[in-house]
Amino acid sequence: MIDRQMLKGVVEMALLRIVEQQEPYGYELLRQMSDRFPDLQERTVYAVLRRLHDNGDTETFTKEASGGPTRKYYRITGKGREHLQEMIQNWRDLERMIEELGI
Amino acid sequence: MTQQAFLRELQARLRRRVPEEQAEEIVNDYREYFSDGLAEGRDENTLCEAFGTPAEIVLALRSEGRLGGYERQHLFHLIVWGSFLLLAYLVSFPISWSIPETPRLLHYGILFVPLVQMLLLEAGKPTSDSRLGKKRSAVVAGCTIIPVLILAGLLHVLLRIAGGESGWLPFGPASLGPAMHRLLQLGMLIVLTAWGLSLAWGGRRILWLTLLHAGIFSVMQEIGEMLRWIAEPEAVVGMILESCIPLLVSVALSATLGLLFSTGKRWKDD
Repeated sequence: MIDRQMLKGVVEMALLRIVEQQEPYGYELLRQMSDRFPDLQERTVYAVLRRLHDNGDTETFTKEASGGPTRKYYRITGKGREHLQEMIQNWRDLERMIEELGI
Repeated sequence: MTQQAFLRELQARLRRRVPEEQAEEIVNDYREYFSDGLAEGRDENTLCEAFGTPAEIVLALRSEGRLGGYERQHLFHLIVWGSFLLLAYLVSFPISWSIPETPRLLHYGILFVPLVQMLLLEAGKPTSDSRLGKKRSAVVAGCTIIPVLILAGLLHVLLRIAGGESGWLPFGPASLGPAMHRLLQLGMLIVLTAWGLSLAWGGRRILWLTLLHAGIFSVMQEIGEMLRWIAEPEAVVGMILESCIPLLVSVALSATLGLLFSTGKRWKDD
């Protein structure tokens, strides 16, 4: 089981990445995250999503699925893209530092 | 747990912790997740398990800092409410002391002031824009001192007209005799407590505190009166025992309870 504290920082990055690439609806996003990170609780994903959303990193739009219900979809904003780039950069830096330690 | 029970509980737990429109958004999100999950062939129980309990969801939101601002605002409300309540009492006492025979009637009136105040504060409930919410609630709380003054002034005039020099009253608790008087007070106490408890059940904590405050005040007044009987009835000491001590004790008790209920303490129970 991956340590929760360690996971937490990554969740935000992974979540924004999925939103950027797929523009998913809420349930889809929750499912994808829990498939990728089985130790992660869905409520944590939801809480992180809300925080990102309130910070203006994501925005929502509604779309009617073919024959299905009208759903709320998420997409990344310009601000979110910048935030994601910053997180990816941090991740790379961290990776390099850890590699230097021979881990 | 069924979907309906889940959503209902989530709504109840979010109430008063986040602005209404946000609470509605969260509940709607989960309603959508339920319908998507059911369409995918998962059953309600599996979904509930995956989502976590409503209490856990609220905790997760809280740990992401989604609720903090609103809670602080809530505390701010309570402090504003408490200070004006105290001010209202302080204004009422010199007036009631100037009419020796009937201070009690004024106290009955004052008992309902916090209720009016709280209803007004409810009207000025914070929105998602916290600065606007604070400003508005401060103005609303400030305005409640006006009804207090009007009430006190009106009673003062009314008592003078009705009572003449002696302070005698054709109506009100003072004219009903000691037994009837006590019965009335006891009845009021029971009604207030019952009402307060039913509101607490419904989760309206602040309103409940207001009513509890009124209840405590009534009890303290009873105790104060007993103390006055022991001391000389005409003495200043008796008057202090009857009025000031119940006031201070009830304000202190309500403030303590208010702080207990408004800080993070309740979260641990969740």
